[in-house]
Amino acid sequence: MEKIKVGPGPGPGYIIKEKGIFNLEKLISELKKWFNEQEYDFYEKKKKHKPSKYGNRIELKWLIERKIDHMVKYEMDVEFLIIDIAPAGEDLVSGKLEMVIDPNIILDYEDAWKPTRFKNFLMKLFKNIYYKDIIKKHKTKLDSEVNTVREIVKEIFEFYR
Amino acid sequence: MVNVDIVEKGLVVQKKAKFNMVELYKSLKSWFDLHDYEFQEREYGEEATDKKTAKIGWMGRKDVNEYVSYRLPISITLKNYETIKTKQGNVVEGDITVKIGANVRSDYENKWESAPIMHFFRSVFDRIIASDKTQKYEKELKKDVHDIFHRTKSFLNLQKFN
Amino acid sequence: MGEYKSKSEKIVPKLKISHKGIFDFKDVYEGLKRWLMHSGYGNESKNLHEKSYLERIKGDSKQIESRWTARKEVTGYFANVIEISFQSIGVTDVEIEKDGRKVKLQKGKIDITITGTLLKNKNKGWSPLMCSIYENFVIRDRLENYRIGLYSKVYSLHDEIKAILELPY
Repeated sequence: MEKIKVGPGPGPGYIIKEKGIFNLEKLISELKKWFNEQEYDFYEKKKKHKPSKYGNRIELKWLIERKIDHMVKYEMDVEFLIIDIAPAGEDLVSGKLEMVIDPNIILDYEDAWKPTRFKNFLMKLFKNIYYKDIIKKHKTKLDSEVNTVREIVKEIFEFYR
Repeated sequence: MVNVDIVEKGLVVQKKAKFNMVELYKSLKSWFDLHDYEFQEREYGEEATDKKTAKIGWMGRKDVNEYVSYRLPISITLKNYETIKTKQGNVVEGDITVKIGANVRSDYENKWESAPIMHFFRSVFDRIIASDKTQKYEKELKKDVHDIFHRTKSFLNLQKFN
Repeated sequence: MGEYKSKSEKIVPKLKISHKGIFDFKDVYEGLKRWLMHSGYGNESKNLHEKSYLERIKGDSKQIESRWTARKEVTGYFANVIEISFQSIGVTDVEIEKDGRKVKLQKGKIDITITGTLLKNKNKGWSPLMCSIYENFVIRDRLENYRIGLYSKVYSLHDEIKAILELPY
């Protein structure tokens, strides 16, 4: 199995930050709905809610993946950190939100080419010669899907409102 | 590890302006598309409290060949801005700072990092054997960065709203 | 040629921010960790190490000291090392009203010092002769770029700290 990073470095993926008033429930439900429509498998790896009289804190970690074919899988690690949350009206909360989307392409996710050194060597050859352009196309496609996710988020935050 | 040669540290446009942010985005994105750069929005942050602030990070990337890649990092900071409705649509008015850098990356796929001696040979190659080509790449990128810089300046200067 | 000792270069020897007043210690601590992570320095299992954390209770107030080292590989030869040390004295918890609700913050003095070091021959895999030829002839022009890169990064961190502490300039 090989993980190919998609998107700009140096750290993990794409970052969205918001400080103000926003509809958190709508954000989460719209994202889940989109992942479902795109036939992504959704796994909630972490959900931490710490209430406090000074403002609640929520940490979420999602793993979203989709198998493209027997060799390629798209994966997005999505992390939310929302702090100082307080109610701010109907369906709205005020607080600080930081969302990080880390997209990756997983090659040979079933490790079919791992067992022997010869198979591993063939896999490297295959990847560097035959599959190179195909990987590039997959990178572009996954990047554009991440862009769509980010547009959904920005739409909910009503950027430039 | 990739080798980074800085061509421009940061060309800065800073002014108090009234402009359509969506049009600025489209204008710069179309420049990237025209010049075959891949466009990525690395970071976007907004503080929508009493004084609004936004910070956006973009990256333009162009792989010239298997060894050399151009990068144009752009950072946009909007301070104390507000959104105003005009006849031409929603515009933002505030202090905008646009900083555009440029760097040439060689061996961006890390093919020459398997051993220290390979890294050494690569550096010798860049410095001595391919120095003319390196200068050509730097010149080309410098032209691109100045082009996008002037485009940004023109956009901010020419935007007029009622 | 005599033996060449490839030394690390302190690009930013000591950059200090001092603030006396009200601040959010958790915001500073976590904000810095996230900045380091987003900049490629902050993987706690690999390249971000908290070298020490000390908390002393003195009467009604606390004294907190912490030191971190963050490292990022730049090339096969260079690495950037950023060291951050916090020292906060006379810290007490305070409750203030902000944006219409109560928030818990800290009051006291906080000093944050940052240093930026360019590590050369980071894996010690090169002989002194190779280092000498490499630094003085092969990459002499590029070396300046690596220095500038680290310098900008440290000052970018400096700006981030000022933003977290909500300092005006």
